[in-house]
Amino acid sequence: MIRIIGLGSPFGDDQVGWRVIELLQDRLDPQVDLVALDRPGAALINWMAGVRRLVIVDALVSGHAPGHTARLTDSDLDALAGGTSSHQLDLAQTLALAGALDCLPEQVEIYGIEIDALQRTGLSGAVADSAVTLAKTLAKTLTDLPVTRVETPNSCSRS
Amino acid sequence: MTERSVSIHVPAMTRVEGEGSLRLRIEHGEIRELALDIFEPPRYFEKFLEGRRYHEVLDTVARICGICPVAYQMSAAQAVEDAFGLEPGPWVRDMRRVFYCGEWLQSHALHVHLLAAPDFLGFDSVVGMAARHPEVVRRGLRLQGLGNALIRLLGGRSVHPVGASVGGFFRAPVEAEVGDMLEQLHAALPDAHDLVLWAAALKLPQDEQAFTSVALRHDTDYPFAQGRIVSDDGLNIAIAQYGDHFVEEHRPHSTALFSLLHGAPYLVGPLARLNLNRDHLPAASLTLLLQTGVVFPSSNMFHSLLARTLEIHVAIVEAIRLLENYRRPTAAQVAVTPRAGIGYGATEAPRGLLWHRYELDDRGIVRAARIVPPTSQNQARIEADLRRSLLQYGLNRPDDKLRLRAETVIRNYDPCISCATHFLKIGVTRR
Repeated sequence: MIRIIGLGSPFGDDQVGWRVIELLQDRLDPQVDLVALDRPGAALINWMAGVRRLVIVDALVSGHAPGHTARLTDSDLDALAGGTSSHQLDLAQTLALAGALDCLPEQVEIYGIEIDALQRTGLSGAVADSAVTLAKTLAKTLTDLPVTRVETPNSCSRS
Repeated sequence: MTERSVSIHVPAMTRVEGEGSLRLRIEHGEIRELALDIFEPPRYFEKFLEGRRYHEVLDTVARICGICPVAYQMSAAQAVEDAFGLEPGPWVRDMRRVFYCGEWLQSHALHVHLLAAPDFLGFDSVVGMAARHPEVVRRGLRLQGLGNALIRLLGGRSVHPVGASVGGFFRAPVEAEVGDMLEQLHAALPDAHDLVLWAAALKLPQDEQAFTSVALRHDTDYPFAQGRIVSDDGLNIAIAQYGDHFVEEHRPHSTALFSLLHGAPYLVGPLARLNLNRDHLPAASLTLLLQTGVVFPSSNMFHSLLARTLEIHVAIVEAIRLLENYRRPTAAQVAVTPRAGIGYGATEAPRGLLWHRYELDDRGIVRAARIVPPTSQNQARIEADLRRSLLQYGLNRPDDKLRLRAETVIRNYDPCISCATHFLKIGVTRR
């Protein structure tokens, strides 16, 4: 199975991951599963069961201009770790935990869209534009591929 | 005389839940200074609430904590309803208890597995622990996920839920949603059962100490959102009398207030609740506790972990009981008519007693608010525990060992500052 997860919260630009999911609705093969999650922390792992290819879209604060979109590597994630979360595991730690639990899908792609952390309501213009661009890119990448549902059984439960 | 000054700095992960640091000064083998510094945000929220209408209170206080928003909402709802002389009725009371079960489940499962267990199994973090004990971590994630689902059932979403209101809820779940939830709850009972036995079998430090437990106590039920405030020293008061017995004081090293009961530190949280309410456990949970062979009341602070796992079982058993004969009501809330008054609310947050007091005017506008969160109530107790635990452990141990023991002691209280695995900045000065 292919699953795209938008991570975020209802506050300002932090919604951008959800916006990408919204833009992808009805534009992909129905077998691509679209999920918007509100700050799941380690519970993100519960969404990895049976997934072969996982795409994560999240807001990013890394010093670039708002709207800057990047596909993140492991070292990018490590560099970002620890800055934005307190009681919960951050994304890098959660992926490390998923790896230790043997729950990681075969393919994991993470896209970050730089946000304006001070944006209070709705999405700021540049960020909204980048959401549209990323959604188009993802739609193109994923519709060009033959989508076959591969239920990889693993022991990570989804609740 | 040589002075060795060591400062171990761990980049703190800060959001709003808090930040902690410990200053420890050891001279000639004795502790000369020990101070746990906490930044606690709720103080500001009390000011934010002034001038707000009563229906804005629940959304505002939910933001105080990302892990226990339900607790803040339930104490606030109770206090505002108390001021208005409003009785929301049995359906609302039952569903609030279910809502609260969800929060205990997710918060306790998070703490036990991601934050505390690595201390007792000898790992730096849950990631290292997961490689050796994957089934334990998976079980924890399943239980945490179930708690989130239960919060969503009534709150609409699991982080800062929006479903609760003064007078009840904005929406009552339909029977099919409740049926689905019941299936998940029943399926999780074996996990909760095994978790308690696993916790009881852990090699926890033997650390008997004298302390006063404080918790709510209800006539018949294990306490969530109703009861009187009791202690094992004989305190038994209505929640409105809190201010007559408990005093909050400032100390220079902390922006959190220290709470004292009759001038002395006290404990709130799972161990205090279980110590004071063992006889009100649901029958299945009591049977399970007896099976562990661990005797409560307990004076071993590290039995907090076992108490926490038992409360996960309690939360599932209670949620099943309350949802089993669910009927969707015609209205999910009762009508609210503001009136001027003072109201009190006290509920049992995952970390312990959470006390609120509001003064509202005849239009339902908040004139004054006071919120006493569990972490600041435990702060004096944590310092007292640290002092004796470190002495017992041995001050001549290396700094990293002292730091780990200090972190373990503090984390055991599940304070909001245990947010990150390595949350503690510790400065050790030796002479």
